[in-house]
Amino acid sequence: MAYIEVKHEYKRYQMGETEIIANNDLSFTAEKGQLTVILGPSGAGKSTVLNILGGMDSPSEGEVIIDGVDIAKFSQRQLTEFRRHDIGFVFQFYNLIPNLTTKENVELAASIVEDALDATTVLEQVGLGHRLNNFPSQLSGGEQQRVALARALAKNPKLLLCDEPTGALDYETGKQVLKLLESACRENQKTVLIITHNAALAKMADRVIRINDAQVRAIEDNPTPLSIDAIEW
Amino acid sequence: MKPLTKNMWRNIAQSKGRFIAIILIILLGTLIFVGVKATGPALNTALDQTVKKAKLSDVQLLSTTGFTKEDSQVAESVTGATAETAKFKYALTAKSKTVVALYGYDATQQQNQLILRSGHLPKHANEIVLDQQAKQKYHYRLGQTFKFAKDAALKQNRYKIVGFADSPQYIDNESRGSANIGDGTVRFFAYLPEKQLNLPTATLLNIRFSNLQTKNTYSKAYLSAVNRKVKALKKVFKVRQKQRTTALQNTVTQQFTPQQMQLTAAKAQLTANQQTNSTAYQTLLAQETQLNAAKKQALAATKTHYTWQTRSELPGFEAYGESSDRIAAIANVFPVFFFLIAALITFTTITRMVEENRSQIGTFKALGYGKGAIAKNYLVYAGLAGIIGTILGSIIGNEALPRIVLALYKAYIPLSHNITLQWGIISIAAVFALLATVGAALIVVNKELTAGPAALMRPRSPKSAKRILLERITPLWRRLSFNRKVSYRNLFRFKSRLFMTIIGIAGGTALILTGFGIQNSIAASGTRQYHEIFNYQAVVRLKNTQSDTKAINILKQAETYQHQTQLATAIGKIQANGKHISDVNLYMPKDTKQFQKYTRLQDVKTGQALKLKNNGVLLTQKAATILGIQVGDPLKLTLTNGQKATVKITGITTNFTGHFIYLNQVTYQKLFQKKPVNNTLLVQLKSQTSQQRDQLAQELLDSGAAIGTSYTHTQQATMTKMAATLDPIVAIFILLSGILSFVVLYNLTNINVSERIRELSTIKVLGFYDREVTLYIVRENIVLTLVGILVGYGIGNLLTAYILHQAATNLIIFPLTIAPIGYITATVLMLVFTAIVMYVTHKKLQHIDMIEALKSNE
Ligand SMILES: Nc1ncnc2c1ncn2[C@@H]1O[C@H](COP(=O)(O)OP(=O)(O)OP(=O)(O)O)[C@@H](O)[C@H]1O
Ligand SMILES: [Mg+2]
Repeated sequence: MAYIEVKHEYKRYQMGETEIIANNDLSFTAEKGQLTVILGPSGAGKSTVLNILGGMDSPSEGEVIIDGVDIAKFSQRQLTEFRRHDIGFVFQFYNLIPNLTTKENVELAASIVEDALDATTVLEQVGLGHRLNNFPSQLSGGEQQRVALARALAKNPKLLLCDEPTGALDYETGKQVLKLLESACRENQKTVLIITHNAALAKMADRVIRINDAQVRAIEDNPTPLSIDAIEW
Repeated sequence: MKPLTKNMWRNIAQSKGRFIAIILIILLGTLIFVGVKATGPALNTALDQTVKKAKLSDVQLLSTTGFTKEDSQVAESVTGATAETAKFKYALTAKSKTVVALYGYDATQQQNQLILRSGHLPKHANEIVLDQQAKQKYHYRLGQTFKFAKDAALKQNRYKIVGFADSPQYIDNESRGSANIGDGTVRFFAYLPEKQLNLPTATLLNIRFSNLQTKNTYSKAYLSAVNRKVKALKKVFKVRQKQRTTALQNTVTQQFTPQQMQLTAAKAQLTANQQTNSTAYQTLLAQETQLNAAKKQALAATKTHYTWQTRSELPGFEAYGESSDRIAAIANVFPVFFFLIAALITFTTITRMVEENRSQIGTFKALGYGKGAIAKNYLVYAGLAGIIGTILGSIIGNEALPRIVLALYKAYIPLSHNITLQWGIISIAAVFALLATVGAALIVVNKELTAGPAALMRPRSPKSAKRILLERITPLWRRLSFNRKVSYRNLFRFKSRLFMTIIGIAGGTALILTGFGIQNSIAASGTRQYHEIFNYQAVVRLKNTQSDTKAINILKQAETYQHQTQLATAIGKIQANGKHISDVNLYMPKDTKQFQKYTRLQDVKTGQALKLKNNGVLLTQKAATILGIQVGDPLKLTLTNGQKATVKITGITTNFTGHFIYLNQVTYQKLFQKKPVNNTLLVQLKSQTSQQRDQLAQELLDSGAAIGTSYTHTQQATMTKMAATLDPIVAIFILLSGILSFVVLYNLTNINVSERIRELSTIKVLGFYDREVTLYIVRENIVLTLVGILVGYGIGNLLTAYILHQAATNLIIFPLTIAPIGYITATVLMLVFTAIVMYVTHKKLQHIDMIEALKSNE
C-alpha cells in the first residue's frame, strides 16, 4: 500500500452565492521515501491539496490516508498532533520568527517533539553552521529558506511538504535548496512532496502529479530520476 | 462618495473592534472627568437649591433676653435683610428624657420652612410635627401621642403627632447639635404651635438677605458677603444690646418700686414709732434683703447677650461642603490619568492601522493622491471615535454620576436636585479627547506618510531583532526555559506595547488603590487619633473645681469605668508669621506623668516621646504647618478673655484632627500670672454601648457635677461617616478603573495578535497545541501584568498622597493608609482581567486561519 493515498478528495469553498471547487475529485498516491513533484498552473488547487495533506485543513469530501490512517476525519486536536509529529513544512515565504536567531528558530520546532534532531547539527547540514546566532533579518533569502528547511527537518518528520520552496529565490540559491531536499529524500529516506511551477523539476522526481483546473490530469512515474545537479533550466 | 472616503468607511467597518475600543476609552475618560467634575458642583447646587427653596436664614441670632418686634426692625435696617422672630427652646421627652429642639410653629413664618414628608403641619393647639429622623430612628408614627417631661414647661404635656418633616436647618441626618439639658445631645427637632411653648418672648431671630440669594451658599462670594452682613448686623446690635438691657432694667426697677416703696414706708413708720427692735421690724429687714436679692437677680437676667450663627455653624453644613470639595480634588487627578492612557491607546491603535494599510497608502500615493487626502482618512477616523466617545461620556458622566452620588447622599441629607449640563467641563473634555485621538493620529500619519509610495508598497522591514540586556547575563539567561527566552525577547522587541500594557495595568491598579486609599486614609484620621494619640474614651467638663470628687464618684459607679485623670483646659487663639488659628485647645495636665497614659505626645518626625517642659509648649503638627513654625520658634497665645502671652515651641506632636497646645501648669502660671482651673476629666472606659454612654452622660449632668460629657467614640463615628460619604464615588472609581484596565489590556493584546499573526500561524503549523500557542503570546501579558501591578502599587500610593494633600482641611490630617483589602482587590481584579483576556485570546487563536496568514509576503 502506498504511503500517501488521496481518494476522491474534494475541497469546496462557499463564497456567498457561488461555490468554488478548489479540488475536484482528486485521487493519487505517493510512495514512502520518494520525491513527488506536483505541477500545475496558478489557481489549479496545488496548495489546497498540500495543505490538506499537511493537516492544516480538512477536505470537504473524500479520504486522505497517510501511513494507513485517514486524516480527513481528524479533529482539530488530532490534526495538530499530526502536524506536530509527522509533518515538516516549507513555504515560499520562509516564515521564520523574526525575533529568534537561526538556532532558536530551529530549536523552537525541535522543542515540541521528542525525537528531534539537534538544531546545530541540522543547521550545519544545511550549511549554516556559521550563522547560528544571526537573526532572520540578517540572512539572505536563500539562507532564510535553508533555515526554514532545517526547522522542518529538525522535527524529524515522516513527511516533508514544500509549497514552492524556490519561488522567491534566484536560480543558484533555488538549486541549493532543492539539493538539500533531494538529499533529505535520497540520503535520509524522507518522503518529500514539492509543489512547483517549474516543469523542469519533473526530471528529479520519482513521481510527477499534474494538476490543472482542480483535477489530476496525469500521474507520471519516473524510474530514473536525475540529480538536481544534472538539471538545467 | 469619493473612493478614498468609501475606503475610510470600509476601514471603520472592518476594524470595528478597534474603533469601539477607542470610543470606549475616550468615553471612560470623559465620563470620569465630566462626571466627577460635575458631581462636586451638583452636590453644592443640590443643597443650595434645597435651602433656598425652604428659605433658610442666612444669619440666626439667639439672645439671653429674647427678641421683640423692635429687634426685627433693627435687623432690617441692614440693607436687604428680612427678619423674623421665632420661639425656640430645648425640651426633654417624658420617659426616655431625650433632648428635643423645639420650635414654635407660626403659619405666617417665611424662613426655615419645613419640608413636609408625611402628614400635615400643625393646625390645632394639640398637634405636633416631628423630625423625619424621629420617625426613622426612633420609630414614632403619625397619630401617636408625643409626651414631654413635666419640666418642659409647655402648655400641655401631650401632643398628637400629625406630620413628619425635614428642615433646612438640619441638613445632616446624623447630627442635630447639642444642648445643655438631658444627656446633652439633641436627637431630633419638633414644631409645636407657637403659643404652646409658653415663652414670653421670642428667643430666636432669623435673618435672611434677599441680595444674598443669587449666590451659591458654598461659594466664596457668599461667605464673604455673609461676613460683611454679620459685621453690619453686629454694629447695629451693639447699640440695640444696650437699649434692650436698659429697657429691661427699667421694667425691673419699675416692678420692684411699689414693693420697695411699701417697705420703706413701713420701715419709716416703725422707726417713727421707735419700734426698731420689734420682731416686725426684723421681719421687714429680712423682707428688704430678700427683695434686694430678687431685684439683683432680675437685673442680672436683663443682661442681654447674643449668640451669632451663620449657615456654616449649622450641624453638618460645613462637612457637606468639605466632602464636595474633596470630590473636586479627586476630579483633578483621576481624569488626567484616564486621558493619558486614552491617548496612548489611540496612538498604538492608529499606528497599527496605518502599518496594516501601508501598501494601500502606497497605492493611493502612487495613484497621485496627496499626503493630506490620505491623512484625512485616519484623522477623520480618530476624530470620529473621539467625538462619539466624548458625547457619550459627557452625557453619561454628567447625567448619571452626580445622580448616583446624590441618590446615595440622600440617605444622609434631605435633598432636592436637578442636574445641569456643565458645558465648560464638557468642552475641556472634548479638547482633551480630540488631542488624544486626532493628535495621536497626526503624529503617526506624519511619521508614516513621509515615505514614498515605492517604500510604502514594499513590506516593512521587520523590526530589527536585538539581543536584550538579560542575555548578557549569560548564567541567568541559560537557566531560562526556551519559551521564557522567547517571551522576554518579545517583550523588549515591542517596547511601546510593553510600556503601554504596564501603564494600563499600573494605571488601573493605582486608581483602584487610590479609591481605597482615600477612604481608608480619611477613616484612619479618626482611628489613629482616637486609638493611637488619645487613650481615653470620654471627656467630662466639670461644673467647677469643687465638683471633681462628685463626678469621679459617679464615674466609679459606672460598670465601664477604668481610670481618670484631671487637667485644665482652655480655648485660645495662636498667631505666628502673620497667620492665626482660633479655637485651639490648651491642655494643662494636673499630673504630667499620669497624663502621658492618656495622650501620646510624640515627636512628629522621630516618633520619640515628648515631655512637657517649663517655659515651653508642645504644638500639634497641622497647626505648626498652617502657621509655618518649627521647634524653637515663638508663638503668640491669646486666651478667650483677651490675655496675651508669647511662648516658645519645644516640640511638635503627631496629631490628626483638631489643634492642641500642651503645656504644664507651671508654664501657664508664668505666662498668665494665674493658676489654671482643673475643669476637665479624661476618662478611660471599657468598651461601652451607646446606651451606657447616654446614661453616664445623663447621670453626670443630672448630678450637677458636669456640664457636659463627650465620647471619642462619637467623634470617631462622625469621621468614619465622613469617609463613608465618599463610598459611592470610590466605588464608581474602582469600577471604571477596572473597565479601563480591561479595555487597555484587551486592545493591546488584540493589536499584539494582529501584529504577530504570521508568527502565531507559523507555530500553529509547526504543531503547537492551542494552549501552547496561547501561552506563547500571553506569557508576555502575565509578566507585564505582574510588573504593572507592582508599578501600580507605587503610583497608587503617590496618587493617594497627592489627593489627600489636596483634600486635607484646616483641622484634619489624613494619614496615608491603604488597607490590605485595597491591594488584594486591585491585584485580584487585574489578574482576573488578564485571565479573561487570555481566555478570549485563546478562543480567538483557535480560529485563526493559518493558511491565509502565511500565504502572502507581508
Ligand atoms: N480560503 C479560500 N476561500 C476561497 N477560495 C479559495 C480559498 N483558498 C483557495 N481558494 C481558491 O481555490 C483555488 C485553488 O487555490 P490554490 O491556492 O490551491 O491554488 P494553487 O494551485 O496553489 O495556485 P498558486 O500556484 O497560484 O499558488 C483558487 O481558485 C483559489 O481562489
Ligand atoms: Mg499555491
